[in-house]
Amino acid sequence: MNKLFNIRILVVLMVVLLGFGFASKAQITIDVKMDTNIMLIGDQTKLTIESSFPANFEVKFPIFSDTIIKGLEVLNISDFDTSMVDNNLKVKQEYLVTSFDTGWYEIPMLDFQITFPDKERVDTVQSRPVYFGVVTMPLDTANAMAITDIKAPLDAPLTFQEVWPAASIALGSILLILAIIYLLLKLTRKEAIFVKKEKPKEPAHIIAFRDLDILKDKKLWQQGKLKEYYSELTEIVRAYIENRYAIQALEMTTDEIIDAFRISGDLVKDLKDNLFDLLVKADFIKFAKGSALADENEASYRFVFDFVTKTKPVVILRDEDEKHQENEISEPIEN
Amino acid sequence: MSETVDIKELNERIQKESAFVDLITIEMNKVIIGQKQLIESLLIGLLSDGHVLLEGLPGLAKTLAINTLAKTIDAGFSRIQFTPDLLPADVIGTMIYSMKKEEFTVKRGPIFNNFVLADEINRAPAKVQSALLEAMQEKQVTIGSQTFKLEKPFLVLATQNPIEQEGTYPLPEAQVDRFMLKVVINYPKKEEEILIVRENLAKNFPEPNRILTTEDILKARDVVKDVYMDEKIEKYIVDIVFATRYPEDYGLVNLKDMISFGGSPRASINLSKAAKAYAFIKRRGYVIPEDVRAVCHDVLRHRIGLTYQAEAENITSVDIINDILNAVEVP
Repeated sequence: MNKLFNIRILVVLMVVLLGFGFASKAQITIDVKMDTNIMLIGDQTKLTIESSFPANFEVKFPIFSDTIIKGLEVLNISDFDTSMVDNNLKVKQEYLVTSFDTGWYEIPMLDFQITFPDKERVDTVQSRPVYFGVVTMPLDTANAMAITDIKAPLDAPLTFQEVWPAASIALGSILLILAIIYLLLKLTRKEAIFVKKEKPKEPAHIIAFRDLDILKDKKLWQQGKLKEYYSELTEIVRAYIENRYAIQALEMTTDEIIDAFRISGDLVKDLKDNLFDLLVKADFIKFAKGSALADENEASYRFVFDFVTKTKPVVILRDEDEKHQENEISEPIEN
Repeated sequence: MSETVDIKELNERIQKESAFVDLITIEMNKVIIGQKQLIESLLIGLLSDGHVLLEGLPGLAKTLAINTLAKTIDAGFSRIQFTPDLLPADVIGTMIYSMKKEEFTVKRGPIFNNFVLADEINRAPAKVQSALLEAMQEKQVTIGSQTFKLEKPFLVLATQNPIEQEGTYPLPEAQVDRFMLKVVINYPKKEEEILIVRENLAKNFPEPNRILTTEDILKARDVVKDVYMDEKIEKYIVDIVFATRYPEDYGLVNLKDMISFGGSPRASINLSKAAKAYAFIKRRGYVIPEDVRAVCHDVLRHRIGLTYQAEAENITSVDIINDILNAVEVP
């Protein structure tokens, strides 16, 4: 009697315990699924692992790094997506996967560790295995023997993003070529590359005449400033030579100026000799404290004035029918 | 007015005192064919108390020119052939123990002469070069505990070969600066070389006459010192030397990266002295810009330091001097 009673109690307890276990497991769901059962080789698809469990439970998901199983490569792993539905926590993680080997694959049952709310009891729940196949492109069996060309790439419309690097290089190259052509043309024509717009330069003789007037008004030699007088007088004639003949007379000595005229043949002998005499006399007065009479000073001034007058460019008026006049530089009239 | 009279008097004095210049030139021209500039440079060094460094390829009569100049003057002359095993004592002298007198006596070296030809100066090591250059600067020599003043005029004429740099000891910049002039000798002209060949084939080697004494030289040097230099010329000289230091201030921005160092105040001093001597040779009592320009290359070429960029672009100190002369305004 007692033995029978004990067996009954044991059966009741087992039923209660089993019932409690089923009740608690029934609240936890595990779902592992793929977006497709058949995929093309190299194609990409999603493997979704999802679990729903009461909020006071803890579920540990399996962890994958680069492969799920051999032949199924992981391309990307999403973050856990968590949501609460009817006091149940729903956690989802997606793996972007691909495969480069054809055949049939099985993702085996995955273990999910469950921790009960009392944090002491631990259990493991397994997912169902997942099956899927990886296939190649279907062969055209009807024309299996026919030789066909490789399929041409698909035509996609060009976007600005694709075009602009090539376009900018082409445009830059054209501009560079144009710049080189411009530079070569300028260099072959011996023209200035960058022409700065300047106000028209005064003719050399106008500057010289104006400076001579200023020098005359200063009355330097009359005040005994002979050295200053000859310094300024020779500077006027040197500046005139520099502007008129493009001889660097300001940076040249007396001998060098006369040599430059001898080489260029721009001056007649008399003018050249008189210029030399003036410069030598000026050197003597400037550098050797030499003296000169009033007549000599006036004669020197007159010589510079005559020198400029005789060597200034001659203005030739063109035919009036041309409706405009042009100034042309001709040879000095002394020649 | 009185200053003007002084210049006239000076001009007359120089006309008289510089007569020997023509005589020396004639005597030197007997032996040296061509090389007018070399002879002028030697005379400038002689008259302005400045040492001369001659640079030129072998066989261009460097040594002969100096020998000839020394022969025209009644003065002591010695020649030191610089070699790698030369010692300072071989140049300046040494102390020798006399067994008879039982004491050390001084044996003077070849430097104790009026004219010293330091042949191929860059073949001797630095210690010998410094011994010579110290004597050049101080005009005195110390042997043991005794110091000896060198006799006036004392002029060192050194030669160096620009090629064959193997086994040579190039003079440092600081020591080259002690030479007043660095004269570069070029090949003679075609007609001059024909004459040289003829004279050598005929074995006709004329001997120069002795026409001057050391006193004449010292007297001429005093006259050279009196040659008038106007402040405009002084400014011109300083402008040229400053242009070697700060070329950008003279519109020569492109030279800024070519010059590592410019002329020192010694360059300005020597340019002034050489210009005065040149005016004297030209028998003028005052200096004109032509005189400055005539000596500018010889005075400045060894005083301008070139950068690596200049060397890479084959720009020489002469190119730089030419640019400077073309940029600095003549007074």
